[in-house]
Amino acid sequence: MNCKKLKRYLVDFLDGELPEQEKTAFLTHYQTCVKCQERWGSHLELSKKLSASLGIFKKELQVPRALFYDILRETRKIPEPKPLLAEILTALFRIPQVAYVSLIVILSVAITINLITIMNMNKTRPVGFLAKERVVPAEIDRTPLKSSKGYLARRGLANGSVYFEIRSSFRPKVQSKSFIERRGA
Amino acid sequence: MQGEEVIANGERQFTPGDYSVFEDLVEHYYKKVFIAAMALTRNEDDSRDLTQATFLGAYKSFGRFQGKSSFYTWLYRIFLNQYFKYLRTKKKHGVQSLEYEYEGEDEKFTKEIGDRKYEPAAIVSEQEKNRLIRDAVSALPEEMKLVVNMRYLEEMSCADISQALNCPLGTVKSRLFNARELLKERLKDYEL
Repeated sequence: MNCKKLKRYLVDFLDGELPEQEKTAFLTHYQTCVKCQERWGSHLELSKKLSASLGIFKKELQVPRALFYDILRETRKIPEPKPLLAEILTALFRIPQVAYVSLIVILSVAITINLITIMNMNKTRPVGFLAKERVVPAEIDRTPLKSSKGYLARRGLANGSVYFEIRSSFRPKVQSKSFIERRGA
Repeated sequence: MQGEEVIANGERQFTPGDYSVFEDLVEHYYKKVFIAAMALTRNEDDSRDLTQATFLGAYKSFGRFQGKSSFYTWLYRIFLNQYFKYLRTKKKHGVQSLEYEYEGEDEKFTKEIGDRKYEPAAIVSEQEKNRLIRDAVSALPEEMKLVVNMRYLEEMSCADISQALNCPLGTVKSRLFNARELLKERLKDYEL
């Protein structure tokens, strides 16, 4: 321990947070070094006086008992806050069985939805009029449209008609229009 | 453990969010909060208001207390928020400054001593000495006053202070050190 180190350890020593080994070294140096005693003696002394003075203040101060009843009266005016939904869910999920079952249900639903979506992705489904006539469309001829983000689908139908459908790349259900050009019409 | 009372090391143990223990908690801590308020404001009416506001705030957010820190550290943080609100109101009305005014503080302290008739020769009794020290602490810049009171009145560790004030541990230590230096400077004429 030297004077520089002692300064660094001073706050921890005063706060009682210095480990035992360093504390011994601190005191050994302090008791033998006049320079440190002159420089830091007042700090140590003041620290003791602050503890004593504020300790006495704490002990002697009369706390009005009425304050306790005032606080209770004020808090009773407020209805007991009900736990929020998030807190209820958090409390529920703390039970392992509930957590596991919920996790399995959520995963199963997610996997099922994904599988259904993948299976339906490439299916060509007849819409509206075609669905009623139960006509299976033949090959699809797609011609990209210049004016919008979409394409013109043209299918030769089994009954000899040609099925046209303009499909948009986004929101196809709303945007798509279809019409049938009958041969000989 | 619900509703069961265990008091260990002055800390009340309970299940977080159990409102049935709130009354006991008020009983256990209202004196501590009032003393802390008195040390900072030095005004009984303001301290009563601050204590009430602290417990009302605690009651409203009691459901969110998870027991990660001790209850008193949590309560003290609510108290500090109320105290800062109180300071802002005071500042608005031009009573107290939140700024660090080192030049002005010495004058303020000297004036306070003058008002209270603290002539160096007149300070004889221990009681007067203690009052002088407390006056000197009260006249410290706000941030120093807070850490000094938390350290010596609340007997909180530096780590707890840094958690309550939400500032680095080094800042707490340096504020304590600077506060002691300033106090030493201001009290040097009084042979305490």
